[in-house]
Amino acid sequence: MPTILEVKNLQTRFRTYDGLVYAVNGISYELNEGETLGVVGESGCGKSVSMLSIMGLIPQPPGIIAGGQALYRDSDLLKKSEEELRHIRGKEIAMVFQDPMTSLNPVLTIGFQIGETLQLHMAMNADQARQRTVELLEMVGISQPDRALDNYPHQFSGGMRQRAMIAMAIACMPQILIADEPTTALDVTIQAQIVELVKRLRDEIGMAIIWITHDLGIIAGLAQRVIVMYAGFIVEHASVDEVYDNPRHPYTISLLGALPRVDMSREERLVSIPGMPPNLIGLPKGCPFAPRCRFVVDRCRQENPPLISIAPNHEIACWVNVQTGDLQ
Amino acid sequence: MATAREALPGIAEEALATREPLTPTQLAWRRFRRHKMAMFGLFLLAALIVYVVGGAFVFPEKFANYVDTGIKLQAPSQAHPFGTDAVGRDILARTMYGGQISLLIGLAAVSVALVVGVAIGALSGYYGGWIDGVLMRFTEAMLNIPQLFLLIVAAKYLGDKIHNFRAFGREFSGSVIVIIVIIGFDSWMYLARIVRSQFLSLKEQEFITAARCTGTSNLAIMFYHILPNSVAPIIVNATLGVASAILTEAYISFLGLGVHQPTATWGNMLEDANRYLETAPWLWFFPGLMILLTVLAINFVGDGLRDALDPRTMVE
Amino acid sequence: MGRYIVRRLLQAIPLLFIISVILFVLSVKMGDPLATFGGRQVIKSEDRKRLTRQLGLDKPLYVQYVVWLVGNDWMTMDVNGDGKPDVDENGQLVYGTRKGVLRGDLGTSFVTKQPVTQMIAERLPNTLLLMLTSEVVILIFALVIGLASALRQYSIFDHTVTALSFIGYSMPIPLLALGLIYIFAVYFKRWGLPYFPTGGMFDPQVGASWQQTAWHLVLPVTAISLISIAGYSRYVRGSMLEVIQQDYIRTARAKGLAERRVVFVHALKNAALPLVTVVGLDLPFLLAGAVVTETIFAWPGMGRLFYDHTTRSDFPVLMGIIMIISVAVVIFQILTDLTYTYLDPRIRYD
Repeated sequence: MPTILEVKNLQTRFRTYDGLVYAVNGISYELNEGETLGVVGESGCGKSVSMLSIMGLIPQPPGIIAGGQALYRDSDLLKKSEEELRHIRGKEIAMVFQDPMTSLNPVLTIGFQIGETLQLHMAMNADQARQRTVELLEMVGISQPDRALDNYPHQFSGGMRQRAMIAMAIACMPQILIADEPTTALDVTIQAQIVELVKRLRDEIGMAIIWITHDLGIIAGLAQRVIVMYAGFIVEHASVDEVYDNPRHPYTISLLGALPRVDMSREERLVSIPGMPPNLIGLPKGCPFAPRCRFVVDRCRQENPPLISIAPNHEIACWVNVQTGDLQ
Repeated sequence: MATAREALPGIAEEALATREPLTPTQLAWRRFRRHKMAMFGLFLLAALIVYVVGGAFVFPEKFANYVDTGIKLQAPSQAHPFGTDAVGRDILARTMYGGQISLLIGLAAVSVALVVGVAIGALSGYYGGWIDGVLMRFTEAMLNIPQLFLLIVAAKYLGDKIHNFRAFGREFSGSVIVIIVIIGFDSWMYLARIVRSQFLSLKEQEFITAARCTGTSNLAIMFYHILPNSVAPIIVNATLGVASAILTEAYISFLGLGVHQPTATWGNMLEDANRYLETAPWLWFFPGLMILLTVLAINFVGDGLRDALDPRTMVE
Repeated sequence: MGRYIVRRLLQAIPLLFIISVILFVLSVKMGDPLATFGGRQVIKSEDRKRLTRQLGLDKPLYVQYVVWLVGNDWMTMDVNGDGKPDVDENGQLVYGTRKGVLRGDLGTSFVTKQPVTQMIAERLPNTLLLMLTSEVVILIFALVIGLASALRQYSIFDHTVTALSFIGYSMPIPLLALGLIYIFAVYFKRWGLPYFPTGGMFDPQVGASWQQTAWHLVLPVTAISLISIAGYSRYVRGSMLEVIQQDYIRTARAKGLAERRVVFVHALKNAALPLVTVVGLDLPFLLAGAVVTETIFAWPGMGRLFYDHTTRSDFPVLMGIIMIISVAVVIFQILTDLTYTYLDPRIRYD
């Protein structure tokens, strides 16, 4: 499968009163056509910021894209003008955000908000846009789409709103859909529905998906590959099977350990990760996870490990390279 | 709710999470200091206070009230830097003494409003029920009655009821007290509403339930537990209220219905200005300027306080 | 929506009742008609008692309130104090002459002896003209300036506007008004420039006309508006800045919409909505300014009427004006509320 997006050494920082915040620190990955990539990490690890950087949605100032490339079909997005980016946003690369209540404009109807994308990118007139919007709403499973059109976001339930957001995102049949924690704000049952919806749409449209979440459980049934991020670095990058069956980075291991699993016996306790998320002001000396790591050695505190390939389709940024046998 | 104020999507809060916590007062002062305009306002205010108070040491009050129609309506000169008024009094000195009264009225009126407003707001917010209903209806009614009109009527009616009195070796017109009281009694409503909403939200908090469990009296709860926690918006509102009170006094006195002789205020110095508009602009310019600078300074400071004490504004 | 309107109107009734009680108590306490009714003459104790009965001041307070509210033309009078209803020369029973506030009778002026309602009605349109013109000017300029400021945050333009705004809304009205007159009327005249008039609604030598009124409106409207524009433009700026940070603006940009559209379609509507409420509720302050402004510019409106009659202690007129304005404020609040409800879809469709 051809590569559709290639991110190389992306670095994003923010100027604040208290110093320079190093939000994204040289991450690199590839996305192939039709592929689903999961991006996992805690709040503040840089997953959202990296995506917004690619889309050019980080206000500069106070943000600074300090380096790297984001090659969409071999053309660097980071070097494009605002004008050029606008042609890509919503049309070739679309985003779905976390909280549909705040991400949809409360004073405009759903039909209007979806329709304007169609009119802008697909050169439809008002009637055509309206018709297509009805089709889209139906595709995402909103009942009575011809009436839902003229409703306002607050008139929908949380799940419905997210479906509408998705409809808005896929309206122009994008090549890449970036979903930034789209189910975090939803009920567990609704979460499952949304995931199913996205899978179905993915199959119908054939788009590549980047799915950001802090919830490893969702990734399991959705993505082919996963990158795990911590403090603006990628710490593990592998196929989804590898990550679940054979996690090697201490952070990933802890994350999985902290995940309640159906097949856990009653005696096994949930392992929470001790310590606090890192202060991102200033780059750390050594591995950013060192303060909280169970397996830390001296070298970890001195040198920040780069991503090393430990198996085909499996890279980790760790000096220790934890084997499954090391776990008690 | 909305992830607003996010030039830094949640990063800054995370990044700052591991720093040493400052006390609320320290944090507030730090934020206040960052506000260049607020600091400027503070200096301006200090300068004005020095001006009006210090003036008393430079010019005796007799000089400020010294009538000499021979030199009336003179333009600013070396002898009289701000000129003289319609009966020959030095305007510079009068702005100093007038300033003392204007500022005093502002502070005193707000104090009255604070007492009334906090009392009503606290009772309303804490007890709720029909007390709240009645008090709030009353507050709303008072809010709907146009302030300046009512004050003018009250000032007219009560104007001469209080006699001149002596304090600090100087004589003051009774109208000063009148003005303070009526302005105070017509501006408590805003404070009452703020205090009430604070009390409403705070009384449900756990530390209040805890206090009740230990048998603390209602009054003690209100004053020792809830009130100290609601201080922030009260301070902001009261500060801005001083500016409002000074302006109100100026308007009433300008219309001739406020503070009378022998006491000068910036407001009643403007009284004659209308008549001598063309010929003696210094009559209204200097007192007007004084009011402007004072209100401006207070507004700057109030703005800074609002930002410094508002827990929601974290990043600029 | 219809139910909401009805509910709001019903809520207003107890409020108006309380206001009426407060104003009634004030007018009784402060307006002692006996002090001035007789003019300069000393009132004989006989006549004083007669007047007391005639004015109904001997009745208990709550009866006086009812009379004040609905008049006494349905009640018989007993002015001569003999305990029996009076009869006139034809033997007919004599009834009271007051119709009460609810029927538009606000009493009679001590000074001009005219019905207060009539006096106010004559002046009301002038004040309305001044106020409404000012409100429109304020809205337009506040929106434009606030918007421009928000979009150019931290630029020199923004900083200048912010500084000027602070000065603007810290200005005492007399300083501003007199300053405007001094520059635009006095100095312009001296420099031979076309100058603005400073008094009244029209030039008596030319006569009343649209152009005259418009010309005469300029300075007073500027004086009133400038201060409010200064305040509101900051409010619009703040509102706009907050809206621009919202998630849905990020979504709009993520869809590839042009920035112009994002600002004027997505952002503006959200930012301008609260302005409706704020401006609508600001009416009392605007009216307060009217007293001072109308006095300075000799504008024949209610504010000026109020001032003129204050010096003469003409309490019926004064209380009448306060009553009318209070009611207007209540009505205006309801209107603002309804407008906002209509404009904000979150409330309209609930």
